[in-house]
Amino acid sequence: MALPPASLDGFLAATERRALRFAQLATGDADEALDLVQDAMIALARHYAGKPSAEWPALFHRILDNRIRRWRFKQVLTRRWLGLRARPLPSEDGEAEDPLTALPDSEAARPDAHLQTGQTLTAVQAALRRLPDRQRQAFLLRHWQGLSTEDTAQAMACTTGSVKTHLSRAVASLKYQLQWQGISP
Amino acid sequence: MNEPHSPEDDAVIRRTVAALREWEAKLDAVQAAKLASARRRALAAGTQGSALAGWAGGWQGAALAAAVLISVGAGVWPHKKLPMSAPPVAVIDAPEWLAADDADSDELLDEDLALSLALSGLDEKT
Repeated sequence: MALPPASLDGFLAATERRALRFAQLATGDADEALDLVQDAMIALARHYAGKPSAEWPALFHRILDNRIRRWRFKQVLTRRWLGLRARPLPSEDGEAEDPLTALPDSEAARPDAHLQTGQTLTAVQAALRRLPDRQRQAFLLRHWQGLSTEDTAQAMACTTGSVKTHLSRAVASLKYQLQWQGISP
Repeated sequence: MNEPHSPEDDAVIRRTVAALREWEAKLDAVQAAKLASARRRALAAGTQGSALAGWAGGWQGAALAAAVLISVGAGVWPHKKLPMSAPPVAVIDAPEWLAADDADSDELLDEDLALSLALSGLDEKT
C-alpha cells in the first residue's frame, strides 16, 4: 500500500473519488453520497487534521461509515413515519432491490463503450450491492481502498479476525454471483 | 498482512477491483468539480476551526476573558447591594432548536469517542 500523502488536501484529493463511489454503493444516490463525503471530509479536517497522516484513512472511512449509517437510519425513520414503501434501501441482509439502476449511466450513451466492459461493470456493481453492508465495506476498504487488515479493522471498529471473515464471505459471494451472471473470473 | 486466497479468489478480486477502478475513473466533470469544491470547503472549515481554537487558547483569548471579568466586576460589585433573599428563578422555555443542537453535539461527541477508542485499540468489539 502506498504511503498516505503528507498534506490533508493531498489525502482528500486522492481519496475523494473512491469515497464518493463507496457512498454511492451504500446509498444508491449520487447527491446523497456527495453530501455524506463532504460531511466526512469536514469532520476529518475539523477534528483529526492534527493526527498522523497514517491514521487518516482509517479515521476518514470510520467517519464516512458513521455518516452512512446515520443517513440510513434517518431514511428508515422517515419512511416509517410517512408510511412509504417507495424505493427500498440496501439492507443489512443484502436483500434490497437494486438502487443503482436509477442512476444515470454516462457510458450507456457512448457508442464507443466496450460492451463486455460495460457488462462486467454492471454485474460487479450489482454483486457488490447485494453483499451485506459489513462484507461490502470490508471488501472495498481492503481490496479497493488498499487499507491493511489492521486499518480496515480500525475503520470498521472490529477485530482483524472479523475483517478476514467478512472478506472471505464477500469473495465467495462475489465469485458465485459473477459466475451466475456469466462473468468468468 | 495478506489473507490467503485461492487463485480463483484472486481472479475474482482482481476482476472486481478492475471494474471498480473503471467506475471510479468514469466520474464526470460535474461530479469531480463538486467533489473538489466539497474538499475546499472541508479544508476551509478545518482551518477556521483550528484558528478559532488557537485564538481562544492564546493570549488574545486570555486578555478578552480578563477584560470581560474586569468590566463585569467594575459594573456590578461596587455599586449594587447583594440581595437579602434569593432572587426569583427565571423559567425559560428552551427553544426547540436548542435541544436539536444538543442532540447533534452529543452525537458528535459519541462519534469522537468511538473514533478515539478505535484508533487507540481499546475498542475491540465486533
